Order: sequence, then structure tokens, then C-alpha cells
Amino acid sequence: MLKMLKSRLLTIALTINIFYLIVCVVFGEFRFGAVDDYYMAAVLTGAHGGGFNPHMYFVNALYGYALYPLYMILPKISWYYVGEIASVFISFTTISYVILKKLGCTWGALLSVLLVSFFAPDFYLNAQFTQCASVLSAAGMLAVVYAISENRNSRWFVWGGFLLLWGSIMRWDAFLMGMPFFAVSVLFCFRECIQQRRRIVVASLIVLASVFGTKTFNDKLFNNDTYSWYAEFQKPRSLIGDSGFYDGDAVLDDLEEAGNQGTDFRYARSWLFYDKKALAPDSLYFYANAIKNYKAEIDYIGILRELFLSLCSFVEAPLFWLWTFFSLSIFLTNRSRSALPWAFFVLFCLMALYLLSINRFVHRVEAGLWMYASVLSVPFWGRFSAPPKKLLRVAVVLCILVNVSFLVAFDNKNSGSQLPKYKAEDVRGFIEYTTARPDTLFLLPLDSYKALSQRHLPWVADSAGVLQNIIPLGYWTTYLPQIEDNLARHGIGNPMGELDNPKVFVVDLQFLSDYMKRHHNKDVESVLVQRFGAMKVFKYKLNVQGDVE
Amino acid sequence: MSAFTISDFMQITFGLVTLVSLVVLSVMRGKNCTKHSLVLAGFAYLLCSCLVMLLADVSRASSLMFFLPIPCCVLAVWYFIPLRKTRREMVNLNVFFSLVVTFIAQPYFPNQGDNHEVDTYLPSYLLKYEWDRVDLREGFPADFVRLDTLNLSAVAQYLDKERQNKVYLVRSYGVPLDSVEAEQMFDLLPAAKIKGVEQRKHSNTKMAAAEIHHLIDSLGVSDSVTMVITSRPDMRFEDPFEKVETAYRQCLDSTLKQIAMEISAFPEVRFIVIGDHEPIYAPKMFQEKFYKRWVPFAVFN
Repeated sequence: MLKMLKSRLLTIALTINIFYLIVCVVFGEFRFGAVDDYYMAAVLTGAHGGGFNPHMYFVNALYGYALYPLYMILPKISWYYVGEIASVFISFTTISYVILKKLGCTWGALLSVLLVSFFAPDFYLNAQFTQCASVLSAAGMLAVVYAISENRNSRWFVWGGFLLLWGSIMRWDAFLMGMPFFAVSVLFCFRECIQQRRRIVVASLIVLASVFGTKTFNDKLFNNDTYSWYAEFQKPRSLIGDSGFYDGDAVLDDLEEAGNQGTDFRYARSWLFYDKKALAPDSLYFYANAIKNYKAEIDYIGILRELFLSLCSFVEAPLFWLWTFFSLSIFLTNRSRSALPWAFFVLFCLMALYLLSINRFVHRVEAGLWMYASVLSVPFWGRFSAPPKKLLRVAVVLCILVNVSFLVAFDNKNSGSQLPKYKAEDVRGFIEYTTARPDTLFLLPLDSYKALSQRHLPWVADSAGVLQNIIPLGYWTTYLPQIEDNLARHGIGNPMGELDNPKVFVVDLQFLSDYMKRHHNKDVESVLVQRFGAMKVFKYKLNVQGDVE
Repeated sequence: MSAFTISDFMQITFGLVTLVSLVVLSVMRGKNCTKHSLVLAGFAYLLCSCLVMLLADVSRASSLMFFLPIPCCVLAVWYFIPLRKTRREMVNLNVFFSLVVTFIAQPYFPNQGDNHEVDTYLPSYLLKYEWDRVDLREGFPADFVRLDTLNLSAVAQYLDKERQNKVYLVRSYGVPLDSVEAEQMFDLLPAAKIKGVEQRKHSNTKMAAAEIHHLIDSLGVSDSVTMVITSRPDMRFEDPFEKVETAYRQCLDSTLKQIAMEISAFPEVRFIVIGDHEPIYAPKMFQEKFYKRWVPFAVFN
């Protein structure tokens, strides 16, 4: 009897989640939420050459190794992406299942539908590793806290631990971000923890060991001759590129007055720095020093005001209302735990303050924080009284209305990773062009390089070597050992210094002649070679002395 | 004295409503009446929001608005205690509700303590901007024209299309914070027709020159205008303060004297003397003697 009920609830949870997955497939347009994901998948399949490569930098290499057999069987499919979608599906199913177990069929189904319909589209359609990590960790924590608070079977622990591990693999920081919420919710069932101390200690030791083990494993992979320098280079890159915490105008003014370095700084700031001589990592450090004078001093009152304003702007986010609703449920049904929502709120504010002070409070991160705060309220709900028939009818009608309006107003146009300037067919044409010329190298600035991700759906994997004559002039893949190898193979030492080399073509950057004259003492001229919509391929040719007027 | 605005009116109204509800609640408190808790909750909420509105104005300087609902609600709850045994969930719901309503109301009552003009090109909340050097101070000479067009459009305004014009872009020519010094800014030059100061967005010479060129081109008067950029005072970030001060004075004085001679020599030519920026390439201490991104200008003949 009990077993049947259990499987019945699981069936309901699965049905709800499969339904919304299908809705997303039918009505939505699947995309990567960030270009970083696309390039991590590309690095994994060895699109830049060098074969299968798990050095994805942001995501733990273990994820790559786990997907390796799948890539062996079906190399055409981007298993990296499939893994992300699967992680979202599994986490949401777990959360809905816990809600169903907690509240029974009627309320449980209603709230699960609410949760899945509010959250899932964003998670499915703009899959992104940070979001996946936070939803995986949140589901894992929920499983564990639920098992502790209701003294459930240890299988919940195993499942929760697995999800937590997966979350930490997808993104370490997002996993850590959830820890304070987890700690607070465990504190709120302190008595149960004491009762079950033995299995909790064992479980946490195992989880800690495996989580830190995988982390060390990944760090070790970057701690060797080939990769340590690459990892080192990321620091000045992110300092200058992810600007916003310094007065860029003032730094520019200073550099201009000091000499003619203002333009170069502008190049470095717009992610154009693959020049081992003029914009080498050392000179990036030079700019970092110039920035020091204008680094934002943290204005605490200002940050408080900003926190208040961002809290106000959350009113437009469904996540906020879900949290509100879940917190209200605690206030109304479980009076003894009514401090929990406040604790979560304070935690949220503290973490938001910290993130604001380092200028990293972005949409993905907020979504993660609200996710933790909402999901971890679930185990502390009390009994929901059987809803009166009238109220139930109203609730069902509301639920249907919300979902219908959601289907009608379905829209994921403002996805961050899309650059409307470039059309998919143009980018495809460009890639055909580059693959037909394996002897030449194409240097791409950030935007054009990002646009390469738009040429096919995220389900499709880039085959090995398809991007091997493409050189990004500024991105986190710049100085990637595989790309360095490609340069060396073509006999190019310094990409931006050898624009006049017959093997080198430049995309979208028409006006580098001044730069070449200033730094490399070469008088060059750009000629348009080929055009793919907004994407233009230029060839820089050395001016013969006689030709110059 | 600023005009009486709608926001002032609202604040006064909310203040009055707050006072009235305070009085009502005090009276009710004494009578130990047992009204329906919903009515009380409504009053509590009204009180809270009104207090929030009222206190917002008082606390404008510190902008600690965000924390105000909490003490306000505590105060409101304190009023209830003798009336009726307060249920904890009621308190929670009240505070939570007011918090959420505060968030919702913010876009409609945006000046809750947040009266700073938002700086559009800087992450204003992170930069401790030197506001005291950005705005002109009280004692600033009143007879100076003030322009804040952010690009050097003073030049365009005062060009004389009938005559020859000569624009002097004087490098590192800033506006001193000290109002007496500011008064004496143009003393080395002959009596000017118009004296003024102008605010800029950027502060480097190249940009200033480009702005002027662009303005001249767009007016179509490039034949009758010549522009001269003077030499820069010899100073560095790391130089000692005294050295910089003398170097700056000497350079600027000799430049201005030369210009003065030329102005009196060619009375038929319209002269515009304008600074490009304050001495930004000097030690911080020296920079702090000048307004940030304000430059002086003067028109002659």
C-alpha cells in the first residue's frame, strides 16, 4: 500500500516535470544561457584541436570525463548540454517529489505545478552551468534536510549527496553559495540532527571528502607546465575585462596624458589582447596598476541603497513571489518555525551585500539565492489543512490561468547569449569558408567569436578540430594550450603582431593599421576579402614604400 | 528656497495621517477594546507605511530607508500588546506584508530617501564619487557664466562668424576650489568680454581637441577659426607637491602672458581661451585643489 502511494507520487512528480519539459520543447527555443557554456562544450570535444579535452576551466573536469563514453558512442550530440538539461529535470523532479510527499496529492500537485511552471522555463531554455549548479545543490540540500526532519530512509541521503556532488562539479562557487542556507535549515532541525547524529556524521564526511576530492582533482589538472600559465593569465583578464568596479574614463584619461597608451587600454578593455608583445599579460598588469588609483572604494551606504533597490526590482521576478508564497506557508502552518524565513531573508541580504561589494550580483546569482531560500523552506511547512472545496476550485482555476498566460506570453527573446547582429546562416557560411582553408588562420574579436555559438542548436556538438584555425583575440580561451599549438603549427608567434602574414586573416576589425604602426612598425592596409552578412573577413597587406603617398 | 512640490505635499499628508492614526491608536489602547484583528492589522499597516513615508524625508542624508519598516512595525506591534494577546504569526505576517508592500511601492514613490541623481556612466553605488568637487561651491564668483554641456560647446556659442577667431586650448587649466583664487583666474589676461566655467565629461587633451574640431566642423566655420594647443606643465604623479605647484604656476603664467600679448596685439580677432581639464596628471594632493572636470573659459575682443 505504502509502496504504491510512493510510486504514485513519484509518477505525479514525473508527469508534471515531463509535461513542462515538453511545453518548453514545443513552445520555446533552446539556447545556452551564456556563451561560456558553448565554448566549454567546444573545448570538451576538442573543437580547437587536440582531441577530447576536459580542461573546461569553470566546470570541473570530472563532468567531462563522465560524459566521455557518451561522446564516444554518439559524437554528434552535445552531451554537455544534454547533461545540463538532465540536471535541471532531475532536480525539479526531486523538489516536486518532496513537495508531494510533504503535502499529499492535492496541495502537493498544485504547489509543484506552481514551482515548475515558474522556474523551469528559465532553467531549461537558457541552460547555464551556474544555474544548473544552484538548482542541483538546492535539490540535494532539500533531500537531505527533508530526510533529517522527517527521519526518512538513508536512501534520501545517498540521493541528496549525489546531487550535491554534481552541483559542486558544475560550479564550485554556486555550490558554496547555498551552504549558508543549508546550514541554517539544518540548525532549524537541530533536535532531529542530535537523534540521527551517527548517520549524519558519516554522510557529511563522505560528501565533504568527495566534494573536496573532486575539487582537488580539478585543481591538479591545471597545476602543470602546460596549464598553470593559462590559469594564471585569467586573473588580469578578468580584472580588466569584467570592468565596472573602477572609473574607466578616469583611467583612460590618465593613460592618454601619460603617453599614447589610452587606445591600447581601450583595446584591452574591449577584450582585444592577444598580442604577446604589446598587450602581453605583463602589460595587462601595468593597466591593472593604473586602475588601482581609481578602484572603487566601497561605499557602504551606497551598497545598502543598491540592495534596497534590487530587492524592490525583484518584485518583477517570479522567483521572489515563489519565495514569498513559501515563506507565508511557513508563517501560516508552522508557527514554531516562523523565524526561518527571516533567517533566510537576512542571509539573502548579507550575501547580496557581499556580491554587490564585488560587483558580481547578476541575474544567475540572484536566481540561485532565491532558489535556495525557497526550496529549503519546504521541509518546514506544517500540515496544510484540507482545502475547502471553494478555495480548491479557485486555486485550480488560478493555476490554469497562470499557466495559460505563461504559455501565451512565452518569450525568451532577451537571452543574454544572442547577438542579433549576426545571423545563423552567415556564421555557418563563415565556418564553411574557414574549414575550406585549413592553411590560414582567422583572428576574431570577442563579438564575432561569440557569434560562432549561434550557428546551430545547443544540442549539436562541434566536431573535433572544426574551430582549429580560429583564434580568439580576447576571451578566456585566449592562450589555451590547444590554440597556442595551432598558432605554432602555422608558424605564428604573435597573432596581433603578424597581421601582414599571408596566412592570417582578420574578422570584423578593419582599423588596426594605426595599432600596427605604433607597436610593430609595420605600414599595413586592410582589404575586404569576403563578407558573410555582418561578418567581414579582412586581409592586412604590407604597403610597399613606393605606394605610400 | 525651492518650490513646494507634490512630493512635499504627499509627505505632509502622510505625516498628518500618521499623527491621526497615532492618536486613534492611543485612544483605543486606553479603552482596551477588542476590535477585529484585521482592522488592527490594517491600522498597523497604515501606520507603518505612513511612518516610512514621513521618516524617509528625515533620513534622506543617510538613506537607511531599507531598515525603517522593521522598527516601525515593532512600534506598531507594541501598541497592540495591551489590546489583545498578539499572535506571533500575526506579527510575522504584518512585518512580512509591509516589507513586500514597501518593495512594490518603491517604483511609485521613488524618492524614499534616495535623492541622488544617478550618474549614468559610472556604477554610482560603488564609486565613492568626490561629490564635493563636482558641484560648484557656494562662494563661487557669481559673475561667471556656468555651462554644463559636458562637451566644450562654449566655443561654438561664442565664435564670431563675421571675424577671424582664434581658440586657445590651454592644457591643465583647471578651476581652483578656492573662490578667491577662482576670481583671479583671468587676471593675467586683458579684461574679458565673458568669463565662465564649463563642465566636461572626459578630461583629456586629445578628447577636448577632438570635441572642438568637431564643433567647428559641424558649424561650417573651419576657414575662419584656428586652434592652438599650448604646452603641458612638466609634472608627474610622483613629483613632490611644492615642485609641481611652482612648475604649474610658471608654465601657466607664461602661457597666459603670451596669450595676453597676442590678444592686445590683434584687437580685430575674436579670442577664446579655454582649459582642457584640471591638472589630472599631478599628485592627488595637488589635484584636490581644483574642481573635478570643470574648466575655465574666457572670450576676448
